Amino acid sequence: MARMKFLCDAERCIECNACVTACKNEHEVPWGVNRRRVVTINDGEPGERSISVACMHCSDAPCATVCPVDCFYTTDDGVVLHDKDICIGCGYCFYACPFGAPQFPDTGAFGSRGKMDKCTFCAGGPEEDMSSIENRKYGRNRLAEGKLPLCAEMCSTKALLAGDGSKVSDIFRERVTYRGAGAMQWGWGVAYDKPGIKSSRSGG
Amino acid sequence: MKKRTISALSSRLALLVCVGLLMTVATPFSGADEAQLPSLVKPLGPANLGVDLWAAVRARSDATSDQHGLSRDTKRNKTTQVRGYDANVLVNQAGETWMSFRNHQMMPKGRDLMIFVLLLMFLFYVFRGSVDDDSDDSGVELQRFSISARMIHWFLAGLFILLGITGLILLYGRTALIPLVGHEAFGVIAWLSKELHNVSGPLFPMMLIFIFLNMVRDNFYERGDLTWIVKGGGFFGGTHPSAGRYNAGEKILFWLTILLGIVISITGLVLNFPVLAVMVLERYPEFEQYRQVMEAMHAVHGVVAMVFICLIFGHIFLATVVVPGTLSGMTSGKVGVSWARSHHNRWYTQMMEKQGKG
Repeated sequence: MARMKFLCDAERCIECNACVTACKNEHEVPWGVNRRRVVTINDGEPGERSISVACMHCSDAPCATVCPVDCFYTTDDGVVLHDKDICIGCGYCFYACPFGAPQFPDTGAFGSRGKMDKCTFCAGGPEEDMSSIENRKYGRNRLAEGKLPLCAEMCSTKALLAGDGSKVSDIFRERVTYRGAGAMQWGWGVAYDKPGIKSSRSGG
Repeated sequence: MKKRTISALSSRLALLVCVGLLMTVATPFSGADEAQLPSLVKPLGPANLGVDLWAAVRARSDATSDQHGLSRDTKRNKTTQVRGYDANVLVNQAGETWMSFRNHQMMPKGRDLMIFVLLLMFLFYVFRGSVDDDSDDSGVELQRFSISARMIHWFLAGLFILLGITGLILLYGRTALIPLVGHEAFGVIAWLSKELHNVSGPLFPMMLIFIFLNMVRDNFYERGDLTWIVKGGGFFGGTHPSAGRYNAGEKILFWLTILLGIVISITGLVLNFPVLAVMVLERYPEFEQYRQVMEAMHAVHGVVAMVFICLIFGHIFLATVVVPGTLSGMTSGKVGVSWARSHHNRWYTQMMEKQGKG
Protein backbone atom coordinates (compact mmCIF):
# COMPACT_ATOMS: atom_id res chain seq x y z
CA MET A 1 0.00 0.00 0.00
CA ALA A 2 1.01 3.56 -0.61
CA ARG A 3 2.13 5.77 2.27
CA MET A 4 0.30 9.02 1.64
CA LYS A 5 2.21 12.27 2.13
CA PHE A 6 1.80 16.00 1.67
CA LEU A 7 4.74 18.13 0.63
CA CYS A 8 4.69 21.89 0.18
CA ASP A 9 7.51 23.35 -1.88
CA ALA A 10 8.17 26.75 -0.29
CA GLU A 11 10.07 27.79 -3.46
CA ARG A 12 6.86 27.57 -5.44
CA CYS A 13 4.01 28.55 -3.13
CA ILE A 14 2.62 31.97 -4.07
CA GLU A 15 0.09 32.25 -1.24
CA CYS A 16 -2.93 32.22 -3.54
CA ASN A 17 -4.95 30.30 -0.91
CA ALA A 18 -6.58 28.22 -3.65
CA CYS A 19 -5.84 25.06 -1.65
CA VAL A 20 -7.70 26.52 1.35
CA THR A 21 -10.68 27.54 -0.76
CA ALA A 22 -10.79 24.31 -2.74
CA CYS A 23 -10.76 22.28 0.44
CA LYS A 24 -13.52 24.31 2.04
CA ASN A 25 -15.67 24.01 -1.06
CA GLU A 26 -15.04 20.34 -1.74
CA HIS A 27 -15.84 19.18 1.78
CA GLU A 28 -18.46 21.79 2.79
CA VAL A 29 -16.33 22.47 5.88
CA PRO A 30 -18.29 24.13 8.72
CA TRP A 31 -17.93 27.82 9.56
CA GLY A 32 -14.83 28.76 11.50
CA VAL A 33 -13.02 25.64 10.38
CA ASN A 34 -10.15 25.57 7.92
CA ARG A 35 -8.65 22.19 7.30
CA ARG A 36 -5.76 23.81 5.45
CA ARG A 37 -4.11 27.20 5.80
CA VAL A 38 -1.32 29.11 4.13
CA VAL A 39 1.19 30.78 6.45
CA THR A 40 3.49 33.47 5.09
CA ILE A 41 6.83 34.13 6.75
CA ASN A 42 8.11 37.73 6.64
CA ASP A 43 5.20 38.93 4.54
CA GLY A 44 6.09 41.95 2.40
CA GLU A 45 9.83 41.71 3.05
CA PRO A 46 12.62 40.29 0.91
CA GLY A 47 12.89 36.57 1.50
CA GLU A 48 9.15 36.17 2.01
CA ARG A 49 8.03 32.55 1.82
CA SER A 50 4.66 30.85 2.06
CA ILE A 51 3.83 27.34 3.15
CA SER A 52 0.51 25.56 2.95
CA VAL A 53 -0.10 23.41 6.00
CA ALA A 54 -2.73 20.90 7.07
CA CYS A 55 -2.74 17.56 8.85
CA MET A 56 0.52 15.85 7.92
CA HIS A 57 -0.82 12.37 8.70
CA CYS A 58 2.00 11.51 11.11
CA SER A 59 3.17 7.92 11.46
CA ASP A 60 3.09 8.19 15.27
CA ALA A 61 0.42 10.86 15.55
CA PRO A 62 0.50 12.87 18.82
CA CYS A 63 -3.24 13.59 18.47
CA ALA A 64 -3.98 9.89 18.68
CA THR A 65 -1.86 9.38 21.79
CA VAL A 66 -3.58 12.15 23.79
CA CYS A 67 -7.15 11.46 22.62
CA PRO A 68 -9.12 10.54 25.76
CA VAL A 69 -11.62 8.51 23.74
CA ASP A 70 -9.14 6.90 21.32
CA CYS A 71 -11.06 7.98 18.21
CA PHE A 72 -8.12 8.17 15.79
CA TYR A 73 -7.04 5.44 13.43
CA THR A 74 -4.59 5.11 10.56
CA THR A 75 -5.75 3.70 7.24
CA ASP A 76 -3.77 1.26 5.11
CA ASP A 77 -2.66 4.28 3.07
CA GLY A 78 -1.10 5.87 6.15
CA VAL A 79 -3.87 8.48 6.41
CA VAL A 80 -4.77 9.52 9.96
CA LEU A 81 -8.57 9.70 10.33
CA HIS A 82 -10.92 10.04 13.28
CA ASP A 83 -14.41 8.95 14.23
CA LYS A 84 -16.71 11.91 14.85
CA ASP A 85 -19.27 9.68 16.57
CA ILE A 86 -16.76 9.03 19.34
CA CYS A 87 -15.02 12.43 19.43
CA ILE A 88 -16.08 14.58 22.42
CA GLY A 89 -14.47 17.86 21.34
CA CYS A 90 -12.05 18.14 24.27
CA GLY A 91 -9.39 19.92 22.21
CA TYR A 92 -6.43 17.84 23.42
CA CYS A 93 -5.50 16.84 19.86
CA PHE A 94 -5.19 20.54 19.00
CA TYR A 95 -2.84 21.09 21.95
CA ALA A 96 -0.65 18.15 20.98
CA CYS A 97 -0.64 18.57 17.19
CA PRO A 98 2.61 20.09 15.85
CA PHE A 99 0.79 21.54 12.83
CA GLY A 100 -2.39 22.97 14.36
CA ALA A 101 -4.48 20.69 12.16
CA PRO A 102 -7.45 19.85 14.43
CA GLN A 103 -10.20 22.48 14.22
CA PHE A 104 -13.41 22.83 16.21
CA PRO A 105 -16.77 24.27 15.17
CA ASP A 106 -18.66 26.07 17.96
CA THR A 107 -21.47 23.53 18.08
CA GLY A 108 -21.02 22.15 21.59
CA ALA A 109 -23.13 23.10 24.60
CA PHE A 110 -23.04 26.88 25.26
CA GLY A 111 -20.99 27.44 22.12
CA SER A 112 -18.15 25.23 23.33
CA ARG A 113 -16.04 23.09 21.04
CA GLY A 114 -17.99 20.72 18.86
CA LYS A 115 -16.61 17.58 17.31
CA MET A 116 -13.14 17.93 15.87
CA ASP A 117 -12.69 18.41 12.15
CA LYS A 118 -9.44 18.07 10.28
CA CYS A 119 -7.91 17.23 6.92
CA THR A 120 -8.82 13.69 5.90
CA PHE A 121 -6.41 13.56 2.94
CA CYS A 122 -9.72 13.47 1.04
CA ALA A 123 -10.22 9.96 2.43
CA GLY A 124 -13.52 10.45 4.28
CA GLY A 125 -14.11 8.69 7.58
CA PRO A 126 -15.03 5.37 9.15
CA GLU A 127 -18.44 5.24 7.41
CA GLU A 128 -19.01 3.35 4.18
CA ASP A 129 -16.93 4.80 1.34
CA MET A 130 -18.72 7.51 -0.71
CA SER A 131 -21.90 7.20 1.38
CA SER A 132 -23.95 10.35 1.98
CA ILE A 133 -23.39 10.16 5.75
CA GLU A 134 -19.64 10.00 5.24
CA ASN A 135 -19.88 12.97 2.91
CA ARG A 136 -21.86 14.99 5.44
CA LYS A 137 -19.52 14.26 8.33
CA TYR A 138 -16.11 14.17 6.70
CA GLY A 139 -16.49 15.55 3.19
CA ARG A 140 -15.79 13.84 -0.09
CA ASN A 141 -13.85 10.60 -0.22
CA ARG A 142 -11.73 11.30 -3.30
CA LEU A 143 -9.27 8.52 -2.50
CA ALA A 144 -12.11 6.00 -2.83
CA GLU A 145 -12.94 7.59 -6.19
CA GLY A 146 -9.34 7.02 -7.26
CA LYS A 147 -8.42 10.68 -7.03
CA LEU A 148 -5.85 12.53 -4.96
CA PRO A 149 -6.53 15.40 -2.51
CA LEU A 150 -8.09 18.41 -4.23
CA CYS A 151 -5.81 21.01 -2.62
CA ALA A 152 -2.80 19.53 -4.39
CA GLU A 153 -4.71 18.85 -7.61
CA MET A 154 -5.78 22.50 -7.70
CA CYS A 155 -2.40 24.01 -6.88
CA SER A 156 -1.54 26.36 -9.73
CA THR A 157 2.22 26.27 -9.22
CA LYS A 158 2.30 22.64 -8.13
CA ALA A 159 3.89 23.75 -4.89
CA LEU A 160 1.65 21.44 -2.94
CA LEU A 161 2.18 17.79 -3.72
CA ALA A 162 0.05 14.98 -2.35
CA GLY A 163 0.15 11.27 -2.91
CA ASP A 164 2.28 8.21 -2.42
CA GLY A 165 5.31 9.29 -0.38
CA SER A 166 7.84 7.70 -2.75
CA LYS A 167 6.32 9.40 -5.82
CA VAL A 168 6.10 12.77 -4.07
CA SER A 169 9.70 12.55 -2.96
CA ASP A 170 10.78 11.52 -6.48
CA ILE A 171 9.16 14.66 -7.90
CA PHE A 172 10.71 16.88 -5.26
CA ARG A 173 14.12 15.26 -5.65
CA GLU A 174 13.99 15.90 -9.38
CA ARG A 175 13.12 19.55 -8.76
CA VAL A 176 16.00 19.99 -6.37
CA THR A 177 18.35 18.36 -8.84
CA TYR A 178 17.28 20.78 -11.58
CA ARG A 179 17.66 23.70 -9.25
CA GLY A 180 21.24 22.71 -8.49
CA ALA A 181 22.99 22.17 -5.23
CA GLY A 182 21.00 23.46 -2.30
CA ALA A 183 17.33 24.03 -2.21
CA MET A 184 17.67 27.75 -2.99
CA GLN A 185 19.78 27.60 -6.16
CA TRP A 186 16.76 28.05 -8.33
CA GLY A 187 13.58 29.84 -7.50
CA TRP A 188 13.02 32.89 -5.32
CA GLY A 189 16.68 33.17 -4.31
CA VAL A 190 17.80 33.66 -7.91
CA ALA A 191 14.87 35.85 -8.88
CA TYR A 192 15.59 38.29 -6.07
CA ASP A 193 19.38 38.04 -6.33
CA LYS A 194 20.08 36.56 -2.96
CA PRO A 195 23.75 37.27 -2.13
CA GLY A 196 25.99 34.24 -2.27
CA ILE A 197 24.24 32.48 -5.10
CA LYS A 198 25.89 34.11 -8.08
CA SER A 199 29.40 33.86 -6.64
CA SER A 200 28.98 30.19 -5.99
CA ARG A 201 27.67 29.64 -9.51
CA SER A 202 30.59 31.38 -11.14
CA GLY A 203 32.91 29.44 -8.85
CA GLY A 204 31.47 26.03 -9.62
CA MET B 1 53.91 -26.33 15.99
CA LYS B 2 54.99 -23.46 18.17
CA LYS B 3 57.22 -22.06 15.44
CA ARG B 4 54.36 -22.06 12.93
CA THR B 5 52.14 -20.12 15.25
CA ILE B 6 54.80 -17.52 15.79
CA SER B 7 55.46 -17.11 12.06
CA ALA B 8 51.74 -16.79 11.36
CA LEU B 9 51.45 -14.15 14.05
CA SER B 10 54.44 -12.23 12.76
CA SER B 11 53.13 -12.27 9.18
CA ARG B 12 49.77 -10.92 10.40
CA LEU B 13 51.56 -8.23 12.35
CA ALA B 14 53.51 -7.23 9.27
CA LEU B 15 50.28 -7.01 7.28
CA LEU B 16 48.74 -4.80 9.91
CA VAL B 17 51.74 -2.49 9.88
CA CYS B 18 51.60 -2.29 6.07
CA VAL B 19 47.91 -1.46 6.08
CA GLY B 20 48.50 1.14 8.77
CA LEU B 21 51.26 2.76 6.74
CA LEU B 22 49.14 2.74 3.61
CA MET B 23 46.32 4.45 5.40
CA THR B 24 48.69 7.09 6.72
CA VAL B 25 49.95 7.80 3.24
CA ALA B 26 46.56 7.71 1.56
CA THR B 27 44.80 10.06 3.99
CA PRO B 28 46.53 13.39 4.16
CA PHE B 29 44.84 14.46 7.42
CA SER B 30 45.72 11.54 9.62
CA GLY B 31 48.29 13.61 11.46
CA ALA B 32 47.95 16.76 13.49
CA ASP B 33 47.66 19.11 10.49
CA GLU B 34 43.85 19.41 10.63
CA ALA B 35 44.21 23.15 10.24
CA GLN B 36 44.85 22.58 6.52
CA LEU B 37 41.40 21.04 6.04
CA PRO B 38 39.49 24.13 4.94
CA SER B 39 42.00 25.04 2.24
CA LEU B 40 42.17 21.56 0.75
CA VAL B 41 38.47 20.70 0.72
CA LYS B 42 36.38 23.08 -1.29
CA PRO B 43 32.73 23.39 -0.29
CA LEU B 44 30.44 21.98 -2.95
CA GLY B 45 28.23 25.03 -2.95
CA PRO B 46 26.87 27.68 -0.65
CA ALA B 47 25.66 26.56 2.76
CA ASN B 48 21.99 25.67 2.70
CA LEU B 49 20.36 29.05 2.36
CA GLY B 50 17.09 27.51 3.40
CA VAL B 51 18.31 27.26 6.95
CA ASP B 52 16.92 30.67 7.89
CA LEU B 53 13.56 29.79 6.42
CA TRP B 54 13.29 26.46 8.17
CA ALA B 55 14.42 27.92 11.44
CA ALA B 56 11.68 30.53 11.02
CA VAL B 57 9.19 27.77 10.26
CA ARG B 58 10.03 26.18 13.59
CA ALA B 59 10.06 29.68 15.16
CA ARG B 60 13.38 29.16 16.84
CA SER B 61 14.62 32.26 18.57
CA ASP B 62 17.91 32.33 16.65
CA ALA B 63 16.02 32.76 13.41
CA THR B 64 14.39 35.97 14.43
CA SER B 65 17.33 38.33 14.15
CA ASP B 66 17.27 40.20 10.87
CA GLN B 67 20.22 41.48 8.86
CA HIS B 68 20.78 44.30 11.35
CA GLY B 69 20.95 41.85 14.21
CA LEU B 70 17.70 43.13 15.63
CA SER B 71 15.45 40.48 17.00
CA ARG B 72 11.97 40.37 15.57
CA ASP B 73 8.75 39.19 17.03
CA THR B 74 8.40 35.56 15.97
CA LYS B 75 4.66 35.74 16.29
CA ARG B 76 4.23 38.73 13.99
CA ASN B 77 6.55 37.77 11.17
CA LYS B 78 4.21 34.95 10.27
CA THR B 79 0.83 35.82 8.83
CA THR B 80 -2.12 33.90 7.47
CA GLN B 81 -5.51 34.69 6.01
CA VAL B 82 -7.09 32.02 8.19
CA ARG B 83 -8.58 33.25 11.44
CA GLY B 84 -8.22 30.99 14.44
CA TYR B 85 -6.18 30.32 17.56
CA ASP B 86 -2.46 30.15 16.74
CA ALA B 87 -3.27 29.92 13.02
CA ASN B 88 0.02 31.61 12.12
CA VAL B 89 2.11 29.07 14.03
CA LEU B 90 3.57 26.50 11.66
CA VAL B 91 5.16 24.11 14.13
CA ASN B 92 3.85 23.87 17.67
CA GLN B 93 6.75 22.47 19.63
CA ALA B 94 5.19 22.83 23.07
CA GLY B 95 2.61 20.18 22.21
CA GLU B 96 5.19 17.42 22.45
CA THR B 97 6.23 18.58 25.93
CA TRP B 98 2.64 18.66 27.11
CA MET B 99 1.82 15.33 25.51
CA SER B 100 4.77 13.55 27.11
CA PHE B 101 4.06 15.19 30.47
CA ARG B 102 0.42 14.16 30.39
CA ASN B 103 0.95 10.63 29.09
CA HIS B 104 4.23 9.68 30.73
CA GLN B 105 4.36 11.72 33.94
CA MET B 106 0.96 12.89 35.12
CA MET B 107 -1.09 9.81 34.25
CA PRO B 108 1.14 7.06 35.72
CA LYS B 109 2.31 9.10 38.70
CA GLY B 110 -1.16 10.38 39.55
CA ARG B 111 -2.53 6.85 39.36
CA ASP B 112 0.27 5.56 41.59
CA LEU B 113 -0.27 8.38 44.10
CA MET B 114 -3.97 7.67 44.42
CA ILE B 115 -3.41 3.92 44.73
CA PHE B 116 -0.66 4.55 47.30
CA VAL B 117 -2.93 6.73 49.43
CA LEU B 118 -5.74 4.18 49.28
CA LEU B 119 -3.29 1.43 50.21
CA LEU B 120 -1.96 3.48 53.10
CA MET B 121 -5.49 4.00 54.35
CA PHE B 122 -6.20 0.29 54.03
CA LEU B 123 -3.06 -0.59 55.99
CA PHE B 124 -3.94 1.99 58.63
CA TYR B 125 -7.36 0.44 58.96
CA VAL B 126 -6.00 -3.10 59.18
CA PHE B 127 -3.28 -2.38 61.73
CA ARG B 128 -4.76 0.50 63.71
CA GLY B 129 -8.50 0.33 63.04
CA SER B 130 -10.90 2.89 64.41
CA VAL B 131 -9.94 4.97 67.36
CA ASP B 132 -11.91 4.36 70.56
CA ASP B 133 -15.61 4.51 69.85
CA ASP B 134 -17.25 7.41 71.63
CA SER B 135 -20.48 7.18 69.73
CA ASP B 136 -22.39 5.13 72.31
CA ASP B 137 -23.58 7.86 74.49
CA SER B 138 -26.19 8.89 76.92
CA GLY B 139 -28.08 10.29 73.97
CA VAL B 140 -27.19 13.84 74.96
CA GLU B 141 -26.08 15.69 71.82
CA LEU B 142 -24.47 18.96 70.93
CA GLN B 143 -25.24 21.04 67.85
CA ARG B 144 -21.99 21.04 65.79
CA PHE B 145 -22.93 22.21 62.28
CA SER B 146 -25.79 24.53 61.36
CA ILE B 147 -28.08 23.73 58.46
CA SER B 148 -26.32 26.28 56.25
CA ALA B 149 -22.89 24.77 56.99
CA ARG B 150 -24.18 21.31 56.21
CA MET B 151 -25.83 22.42 52.97
CA ILE B 152 -22.69 24.16 51.81
CA HIS B 153 -20.56 21.18 52.80
CA TRP B 154 -22.69 18.62 50.98
CA PHE B 155 -23.16 20.78 47.91
CA LEU B 156 -19.40 21.20 47.70
CA ALA B 157 -18.87 17.50 48.44
CA GLY B 158 -21.34 16.42 45.77
CA LEU B 159 -19.78 18.78 43.30
CA PHE B 160 -16.31 17.50 44.19
CA ILE B 161 -17.32 13.87 43.69
CA LEU B 162 -19.02 14.69 40.38
CA LEU B 163 -16.06 16.70 39.11
CA GLY B 164 -13.60 14.12 40.43
CA ILE B 165 -15.29 11.16 38.80
CA THR B 166 -15.89 12.91 35.45
CA GLY B 167 -12.32 14.24 35.47
CA LEU B 168 -10.85 10.81 36.19
CA ILE B 169 -13.01 9.31 33.44
CA LEU B 170 -11.56 11.83 30.98
CA LEU B 171 -8.01 11.07 32.14
CA TYR B 172 -8.06 7.31 32.70
CA GLY B 173 -11.19 6.17 30.85
CA ARG B 174 -9.28 5.32 27.70
CA THR B 175 -7.13 2.76 29.52
CA ALA B 176 -9.64 1.66 32.16
CA LEU B 177 -13.07 1.78 30.52
CA ILE B 178 -12.64 1.29 26.76
CA PRO B 179 -11.58 -2.38 27.23
CA LEU B 180 -14.74 -2.90 29.32
CA VAL B 181 -17.46 -1.02 27.43
CA GLY B 182 -15.99 -0.46 23.97
CA HIS B 183 -15.25 2.70 21.99
CA GLU B 184 -18.83 3.72 21.13
CA ALA B 185 -20.26 3.44 24.65
CA PHE B 186 -17.22 5.10 26.14
CA GLY B 187 -17.61 7.94 23.63
CA VAL B 188 -21.02 8.66 25.16
CA ILE B 189 -19.71 8.34 28.73
CA ALA B 190 -16.79 10.63 27.98
CA TRP B 191 -18.99 13.18 26.20
CA LEU B 192 -21.33 13.25 29.21
CA SER B 193 -18.34 13.53 31.54
CA LYS B 194 -16.92 16.44 29.57
CA GLU B 195 -20.21 18.34 29.49
CA LEU B 196 -20.96 17.72 33.19
CA HIS B 197 -17.42 18.68 34.14
CA ASN B 198 -17.55 21.87 32.08
CA VAL B 199 -21.04 22.93 33.13
CA SER B 200 -20.79 22.17 36.84
CA GLY B 201 -17.16 23.24 37.14
CA PRO B 202 -17.85 26.99 37.48
CA LEU B 203 -20.04 26.26 40.53
CA PHE B 204 -16.99 25.01 42.39
CA PRO B 205 -15.34 28.41 42.99
CA MET B 206 -18.74 29.72 44.09
CA MET B 207 -19.11 27.00 46.72
CA LEU B 208 -15.50 27.54 47.72
CA ILE B 209 -16.34 31.15 48.58
CA PHE B 210 -19.38 30.01 50.57
CA ILE B 211 -17.49 27.42 52.59
CA PHE B 212 -14.69 29.90 53.21
CA LEU B 213 -17.09 32.51 54.61
CA ASN B 214 -18.97 29.91 56.62
CA MET B 215 -16.05 28.16 58.26
CA VAL B 216 -13.09 30.52 58.26
CA ARG B 217 -13.71 32.02 61.73
CA ASP B 218 -12.96 28.79 63.60
CA ASN B 219 -10.05 27.79 61.38
CA PHE B 220 -7.41 30.29 62.45
CA TYR B 221 -4.38 29.14 64.37
CA GLU B 222 -4.98 28.71 68.08
CA ARG B 223 -2.72 27.81 70.98
CA GLY B 224 -2.53 24.07 71.23
CA ASP B 225 -2.67 23.39 67.47
CA LEU B 226 1.07 22.90 67.31
CA THR B 227 0.93 20.45 70.20
CA TRP B 228 -1.83 18.61 68.38
CA ILE B 229 0.38 18.26 65.31
CA VAL B 230 3.43 17.23 67.36
CA LYS B 231 1.39 14.52 69.06
CA GLY B 232 0.22 13.31 65.63
CA GLY B 233 -3.39 14.01 66.58
CA GLY B 234 -3.34 11.10 69.00
CA PHE B 235 -3.63 8.64 66.12
CA PHE B 236 -0.50 6.79 67.12
CA GLY B 237 -1.23 6.11 70.75
CA GLY B 238 -1.06 8.42 73.71
CA THR B 239 -3.80 10.64 74.97
CA HIS B 240 -6.10 12.84 72.90
CA PRO B 241 -4.36 16.14 72.32
CA SER B 242 -6.43 19.13 73.29
CA ALA B 243 -8.43 20.72 70.45
CA GLY B 244 -10.93 23.53 69.93
CA ARG B 245 -13.90 23.42 67.60
CA TYR B 246 -11.60 22.21 64.82
CA ASN B 247 -8.38 20.36 65.53
CA ALA B 248 -5.18 21.24 63.68
CA GLY B 249 -5.73 18.46 61.14
CA GLU B 250 -9.14 19.82 60.23
CA LYS B 251 -7.67 23.29 59.94
CA ILE B 252 -5.00 22.00 57.57
CA LEU B 253 -7.75 20.36 55.54
CA PHE B 254 -9.68 23.63 55.42
CA TRP B 255 -6.75 25.75 54.28
CA LEU B 256 -5.55 23.13 51.78
CA THR B 257 -9.07 22.94 50.38
CA ILE B 258 -9.11 26.71 49.94
CA LEU B 259 -5.59 26.80 48.46
CA LEU B 260 -5.98 23.83 46.09
CA GLY B 261 -9.52 25.00 45.34
CA ILE B 262 -8.31 28.41 44.21
CA VAL B 263 -5.64 26.90 41.93
CA ILE B 264 -8.03 24.34 40.49
CA SER B 265 -10.73 27.00 39.97
CA ILE B 266 -8.47 29.44 38.14
CA THR B 267 -6.97 26.78 35.89
CA GLY B 268 -10.37 25.21 35.33
CA LEU B 269 -12.02 28.49 34.39
CA VAL B 270 -9.27 29.24 31.87
CA LEU B 271 -9.68 25.78 30.35
CA ASN B 272 -13.45 26.23 30.28
CA PHE B 273 -13.44 29.72 28.76
CA PRO B 274 -10.68 30.00 26.14
CA VAL B 275 -11.22 33.76 26.03
CA LEU B 276 -9.54 33.84 29.46
CA ALA B 277 -6.58 31.96 27.98
CA VAL B 278 -6.27 34.67 25.34
CA MET B 279 -6.29 37.26 28.12
CA VAL B 280 -3.57 35.32 29.96
CA LEU B 281 -1.56 35.21 26.74
CA GLU B 282 -1.86 38.96 26.28
CA ARG B 283 -0.83 39.57 29.89
CA TYR B 284 2.02 37.03 29.84
CA PRO B 285 3.51 36.95 26.34
CA GLU B 286 6.18 34.47 27.47
CA PHE B 287 3.57 31.77 26.87
CA GLU B 288 3.91 32.59 23.13
CA GLN B 289 0.86 30.61 22.08
CA TYR B 290 -2.75 30.18 23.13
CA ARG B 291 -2.14 26.46 23.19
CA GLN B 292 0.74 26.82 25.63
CA VAL B 293 -1.54 28.59 28.10
CA MET B 294 -4.08 25.79 27.81
CA GLU B 295 -1.38 23.13 28.14
CA ALA B 296 0.08 24.74 31.26
CA MET B 297 -3.38 25.15 32.78
CA HIS B 298 -4.26 21.56 31.96
CA ALA B 299 -1.08 20.21 33.54
CA VAL B 300 -1.53 22.22 36.75
CA HIS B 301 -5.26 21.41 36.87
CA GLY B 302 -4.61 17.68 36.56
CA VAL B 303 -1.80 17.51 39.11
CA VAL B 304 -3.65 19.64 41.69
CA ALA B 305 -6.87 17.68 41.11
CA MET B 306 -5.20 14.38 41.93
CA VAL B 307 -3.50 15.79 45.04
CA PHE B 308 -6.91 17.20 46.03
CA ILE B 309 -8.58 13.83 45.50
CA CYS B 310 -5.98 12.19 47.76
CA LEU B 311 -6.63 14.84 50.42
CA ILE B 312 -10.36 14.19 50.25
CA PHE B 313 -9.77 10.42 50.39
CA GLY B 314 -8.07 11.07 53.71
CA HIS B 315 -10.86 13.39 54.87
CA ILE B 316 -13.59 10.85 54.12
CA PHE B 317 -11.56 8.03 55.67
CA LEU B 318 -10.96 9.91 58.93
CA ALA B 319 -14.49 11.25 59.24
CA THR B 320 -16.23 7.94 58.69
CA VAL B 321 -14.04 4.94 59.47
CA VAL B 322 -11.28 6.14 61.77
CA VAL B 323 -13.21 8.39 64.12
CA PRO B 324 -16.75 7.08 64.62
CA GLY B 325 -19.24 9.65 65.75
CA THR B 326 -17.84 12.39 63.52
CA LEU B 327 -20.15 11.89 60.54
CA SER B 328 -23.33 12.70 62.44
CA GLY B 329 -22.08 16.28 62.85
CA MET B 330 -22.43 16.69 59.09
CA THR B 331 -25.63 14.68 58.65
CA SER B 332 -27.93 15.49 61.58
CA GLY B 333 -25.75 18.37 62.66
CA LYS B 334 -25.43 16.93 66.16
CA VAL B 335 -22.61 15.05 67.86
CA GLY B 336 -22.53 13.00 71.02
CA VAL B 337 -21.34 14.65 74.20
CA SER B 338 -18.62 12.10 74.92
CA TRP B 339 -17.32 12.42 71.33
CA ALA B 340 -17.09 16.16 71.77
CA ARG B 341 -15.44 15.80 75.17
CA SER B 342 -12.69 13.50 73.96
CA HIS B 343 -12.01 14.94 70.48
CA HIS B 344 -12.73 18.62 70.88
CA ASN B 345 -12.41 19.21 74.63
CA ARG B 346 -11.97 22.98 74.45
CA TRP B 347 -14.99 23.37 72.18
CA TYR B 348 -16.94 21.09 74.55
CA THR B 349 -16.07 23.29 77.51
CA GLN B 350 -17.12 26.40 75.58
CA MET B 351 -20.44 24.80 74.63
CA MET B 352 -21.08 23.74 78.19
CA GLU B 353 -20.38 27.23 79.47
CA LYS B 354 -22.72 28.66 76.87
CA GLN B 355 -25.45 26.22 77.78
CA GLY B 356 -24.90 26.92 81.44
CA LYS B 357 -25.40 30.59 80.75
CA GLY B 358 -28.46 30.04 78.55
